[in-house]
Amino acid sequence: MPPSTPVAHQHLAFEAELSDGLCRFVRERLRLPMGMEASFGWLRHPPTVLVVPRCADGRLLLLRRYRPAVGRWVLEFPSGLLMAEESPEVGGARLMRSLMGLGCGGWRQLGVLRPNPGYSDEHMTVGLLAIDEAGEGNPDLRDATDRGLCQLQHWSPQDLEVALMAPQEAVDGRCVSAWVLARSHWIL
Amino acid sequence: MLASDLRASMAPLPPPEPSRHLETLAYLDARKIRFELNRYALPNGLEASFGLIRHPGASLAVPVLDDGRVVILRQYRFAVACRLLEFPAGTLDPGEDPLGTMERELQEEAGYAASRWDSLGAMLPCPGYSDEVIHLFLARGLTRLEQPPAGDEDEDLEVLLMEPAELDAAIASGDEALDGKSVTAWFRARQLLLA
Repeated sequence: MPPSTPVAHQHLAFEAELSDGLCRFVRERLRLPMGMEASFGWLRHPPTVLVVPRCADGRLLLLRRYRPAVGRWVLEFPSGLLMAEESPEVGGARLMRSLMGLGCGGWRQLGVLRPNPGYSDEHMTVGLLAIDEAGEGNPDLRDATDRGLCQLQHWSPQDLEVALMAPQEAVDGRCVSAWVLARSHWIL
Repeated sequence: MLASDLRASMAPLPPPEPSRHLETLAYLDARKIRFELNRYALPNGLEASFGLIRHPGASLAVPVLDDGRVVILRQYRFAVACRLLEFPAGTLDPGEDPLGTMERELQEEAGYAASRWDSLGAMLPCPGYSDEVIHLFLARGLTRLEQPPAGDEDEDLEVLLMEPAELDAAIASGDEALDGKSVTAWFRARQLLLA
């Protein structure tokens, strides 16, 4: 089956916006490709990178991170915003150094994810990153608001597979998608 | 499993541990969602302000025909200005339970009714900036409707049938921008179908 063909809506009018400093929520009047006109709201989100970090022993590094938006401790791969003009490879390595204090080896891009296309334009590049040195990270480098709200965890691929299937786990869709991409490339 | 039996057996997620909401600084509404700038007291004692999407929740189903093919949509999404491969899904209407939403959306979007339902749990599509929870289902025992009910007027979609291997290949190819919720649902459905 051929991939989706490019198509776009027509912007008609700007209505309102609200920003939190990182993201802008905008409401605009659009004409969709099918011809319908209406007001739509969505989040203008900077591009992001998600890293599947693999240690030399084959284990994966994940975060158990408290997410205030959902009020839950979520199991997730490290992810973050890309800086202007920054490639996903460079951004992924920067993220791992700053978030965990870990050195990094080779990068392999796995795909592009739209985590929430219903109301966010976020474009997330997913890649596998080899970790040169296993360790417990450098908590001094973490953002202050993350202190006590983010735990570094080592997972075997087998255990992660089971955890992501567990119905009691409110899984992070980005994490599962990255895991599926990594598995589909037969690199784990 | 019949829909009535599934409703009785669905286990809820463990309860959340919400941060203490201190104040809402501003908000902006758009159709079914709201963007809020809030100030919270976090569990570590610090206070922080950030924006998040308030969402009523949603349901998604992986519909599988008796011959093994999956029913999937190619749907235009204005936020990303392209068409994506997605499973049928929809926002919970007020007072509607997740399975009820999914039964309705499967008929409206895909034109099928299902007689057999399994829960695939719940997922968080973007826990960093949205409180949305999506309830996932596997729908089998499908019957094509001669006259499907009308769906939302802003839906621009095409119904496709794909072999499972074809869907796996599309996900792995890198040629398609991937819809996170659909990949997550397919991951869980695939395990159940293979069991």
